[in-house]
Amino acid sequence: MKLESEGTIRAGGNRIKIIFINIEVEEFMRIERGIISGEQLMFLIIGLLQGSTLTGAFVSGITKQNTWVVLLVGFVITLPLLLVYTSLSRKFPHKNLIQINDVIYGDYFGKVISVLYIYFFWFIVPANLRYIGDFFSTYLFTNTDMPVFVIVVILLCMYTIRKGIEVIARFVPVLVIISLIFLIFITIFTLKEMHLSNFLPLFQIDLKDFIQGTNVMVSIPFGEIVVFLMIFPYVNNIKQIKKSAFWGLFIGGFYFIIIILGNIAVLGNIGAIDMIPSYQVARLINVGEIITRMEILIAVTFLFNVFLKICIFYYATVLSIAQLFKLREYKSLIIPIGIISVILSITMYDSPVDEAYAASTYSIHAILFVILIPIISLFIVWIRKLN
Amino acid sequence: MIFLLIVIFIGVAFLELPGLIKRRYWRELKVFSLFLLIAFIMSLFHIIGIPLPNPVKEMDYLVKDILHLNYK
Repeated sequence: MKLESEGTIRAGGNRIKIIFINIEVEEFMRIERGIISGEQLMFLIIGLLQGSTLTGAFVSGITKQNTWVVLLVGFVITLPLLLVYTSLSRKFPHKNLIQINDVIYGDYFGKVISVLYIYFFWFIVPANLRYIGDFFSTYLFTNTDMPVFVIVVILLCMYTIRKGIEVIARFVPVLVIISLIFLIFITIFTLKEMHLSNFLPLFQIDLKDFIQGTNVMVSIPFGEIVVFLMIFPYVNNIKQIKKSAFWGLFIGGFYFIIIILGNIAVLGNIGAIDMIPSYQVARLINVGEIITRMEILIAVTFLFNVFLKICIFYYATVLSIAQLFKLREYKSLIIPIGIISVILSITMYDSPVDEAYAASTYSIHAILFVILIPIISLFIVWIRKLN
Repeated sequence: MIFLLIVIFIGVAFLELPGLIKRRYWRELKVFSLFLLIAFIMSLFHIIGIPLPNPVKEMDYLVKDILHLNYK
């Protein structure tokens, strides 16, 4: 919607002519009024990738000691995908994913695509809540029920999201840097446990396992960057989005490969039997019987990272639903959606084993949202010459 | 347990409604009530033991039995 108007004001006898031209009305009707900087966007992407790092066990079960090969291939596949996302956001500045869908696919079919994306964003919230609840009730607080952790985490997320994207973006660097410090600490102390023979035999993967591993890698950790199509419009400098996004991907991918290489070097191909291999690695730290039981650092890092990931996806879900119904604010939707997520997270899996099993079908259906629809959208933009 | 649930939902409604009514956000009020109603029905069903639709099972069914795209 473009607004062109002309007005005159009489001030002190002099006629002052005021002309408003081409004011984007949407800018004043935005649901989220917060603005984040390019550096904060970079830290958000690093944080999102860190949140998926400890869940890398899904892939370790498939490709065992060759997980790092799959990781590198997945990373290379993600680079053009990120280019697709950033060019979509550059074609439609100040528009989020739901508005982009409306422009590209028209009013009715665009709504269908938007509902599918809302399902995709929303699914990740209860899945991660369940993951964190299972982890804490199995490893650390064995006598406490799983829903307790789920409810505590979602209450914190609700509080954070009510404060808006600016607050999320401001605390992210702290959590990311703490996670990096813990990573360096644990890597240094496990150096003597690392055996390079654990990497052998190199490159011995079935083609089928390789494709499955790559698929899981692209759709679970890296492809989730598609959620940032909801956050790109709130970056203050549009030209900086591409640079920040790629830096975020590089640093997050680097963190990821360090963790995976460390896990393989310490545990070898038995790393796959653990829910979080890094936790098992940190257990082995023993420096003169004084510095021991460092696994709690991994538990804290895990809590930070998954909390951040839930925050980003929860925020994207709430914002997309508010945008779909064309609301003026999203804050009233936070609590109902949080309650539904808690109920879903409790009922969605019968056991943690079920969860690892579901990752294989999840990764297939995520291809639609992560790879196919963005590429088709960009293709349609290119054919119809939309700008 | 059901009493506690009703108390929690009334609390949520009292937390959100005054702001929405004061600012005359009727559309927001409708969407909020819709989602709160869904949340209430789902929690109630979970407490009294009626099985809820499970997104994971439906996703599995779609990918495996209709599209035949699974790996194993």
